[in-house]
Amino acid sequence: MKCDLCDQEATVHEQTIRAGKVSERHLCERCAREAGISINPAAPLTSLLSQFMTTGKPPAPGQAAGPVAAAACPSCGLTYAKFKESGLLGCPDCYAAFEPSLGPLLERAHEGGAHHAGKKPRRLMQQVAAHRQQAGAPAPAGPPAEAAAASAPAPASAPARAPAGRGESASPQAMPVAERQRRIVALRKLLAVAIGDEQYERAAQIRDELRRLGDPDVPPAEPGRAGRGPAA
Amino acid sequence: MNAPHSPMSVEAVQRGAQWLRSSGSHADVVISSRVRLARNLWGLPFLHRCSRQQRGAALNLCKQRLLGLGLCPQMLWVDVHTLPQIDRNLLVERHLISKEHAKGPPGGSDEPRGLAVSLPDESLSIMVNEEDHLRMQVLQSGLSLSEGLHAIDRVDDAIESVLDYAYSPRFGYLTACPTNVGCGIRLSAMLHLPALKLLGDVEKVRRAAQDMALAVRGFYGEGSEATGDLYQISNQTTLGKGEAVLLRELETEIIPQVIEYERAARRILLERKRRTLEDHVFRALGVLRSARLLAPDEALTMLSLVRLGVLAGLITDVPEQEVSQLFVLVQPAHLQRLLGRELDQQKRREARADLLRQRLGAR
Repeated sequence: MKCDLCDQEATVHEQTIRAGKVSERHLCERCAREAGISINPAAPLTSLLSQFMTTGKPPAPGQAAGPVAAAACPSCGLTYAKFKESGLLGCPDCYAAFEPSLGPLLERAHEGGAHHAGKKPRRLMQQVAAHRQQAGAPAPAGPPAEAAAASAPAPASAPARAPAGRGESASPQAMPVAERQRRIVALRKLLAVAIGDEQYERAAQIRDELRRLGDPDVPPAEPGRAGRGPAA
Repeated sequence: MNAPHSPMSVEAVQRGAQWLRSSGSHADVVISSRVRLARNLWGLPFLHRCSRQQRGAALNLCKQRLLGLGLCPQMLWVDVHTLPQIDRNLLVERHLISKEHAKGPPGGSDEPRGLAVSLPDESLSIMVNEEDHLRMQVLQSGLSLSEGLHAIDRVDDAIESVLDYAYSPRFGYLTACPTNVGCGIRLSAMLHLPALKLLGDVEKVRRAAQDMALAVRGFYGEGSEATGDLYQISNQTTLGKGEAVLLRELETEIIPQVIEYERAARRILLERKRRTLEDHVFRALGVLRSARLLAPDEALTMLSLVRLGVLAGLITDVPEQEVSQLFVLVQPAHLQRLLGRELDQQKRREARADLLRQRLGAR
């Protein structure tokens, strides 16, 4: 696809949803930067997620953190210095928090390998596909939220991941607290995958569903800004 | 379990290990094949950052789910942290747990740790609370990496149907150590290369493997020496390549080459240096049939030469499988378990020599 403003290949695709109307822009990196909407591909996932959760779109330049690794993982508190000392990361979210520094290190350790090219968790992918199909439909529910619920709650900023099943929807207010919690955990998992796959429209739908369920990590919608995206 | 503190019966110990039974393809050179996956639970820190309560929760959850899955007709669960050190070492010697999993004093901060193992073949084992929450392996005799991969894939799917893995589309399966991230897989084959060693050509194999980003390690993995001329070759990278590519590199590219090198070396020894080979082999057999004190390394060195002699057709009165099993049976914890009591180093050397004389006695 060509850039809307020049003949270069468009690499940045912006989608804005206002009052239920979708507008799109497809730009090359240079034009996007000039238009102030370029996305740093190396931005940490956590930062991407937190920014996404607030604004409904990936961070704009100059606003979000650049390709600088967090000093400490926001979920487990491990510092990058400590990681270098021990060689072990503290939790799954460390990968996103330290991504700018970790990326080159991983490439060296894996002979140039930078992206996962192997097996994907079967059940998780089925859940993602099912949720994609019923985009706009109520959130899936599922069995108990496994480790996240059984022991420590997922860290507040973590894009938690837990099983989602085929439960029927109920009004969030009428739903038992435990059930609502399970749905929130399930949806957070789908949100993490959607953002990882750069499926921002789907991520927006999941975020809205989380908001409807009263997920404390999802701030209230900004008037006239965020909204439910159209069904795919 | 057979008894609170004995994960293996004496009979099971005497039988030796299934992966040492010298069956399967290319078993003259490839002793065993192992496929291991590292997985972590979503919603918990990696193990070294878990509180004791979190470790306990992870262990209970995994134990309950693993035992409920019916992964094999009989599954043994072992609370590794409650075992006396000697029984933990027994599991290490049988390659069912890592040395790291066997460490730690009772009541220590790295408790609890568990193991699920399929019986009676011990081909599937799953460590809970090692460096990652789950480390599962399929270990089989001969060159069987494809079969092992197929088997562990099914186990992995079954476990993922009841437990949530930490996974990201970009990085794959998230592991505590970034060198395992991606597929989280380690494919490894244990090769017996006595002829290459005698000809001084093992270094060539090591270099060829390293050129392909493969690691060469000893009998007991990372940091261990290649005693008994046993070498493990495994993939080092896990990110950027899928399981099928990693499998192909090992099973159809490097390992067949090494097998051919070793077989060629055995032919050269037989055809051109027969007297030298016979001397090495029969001296080794003589030591094992006569010695009154034997250290583990010496025993393995001699057993390696005797196995070569059997495979070359020079020694005809000892079954090859018996020799292979002795690689594990002469290890310290196995000796003590067979005799049913703890032994100091001197007594172990005596017991080792006695066992070898008895099992390899002239017929």
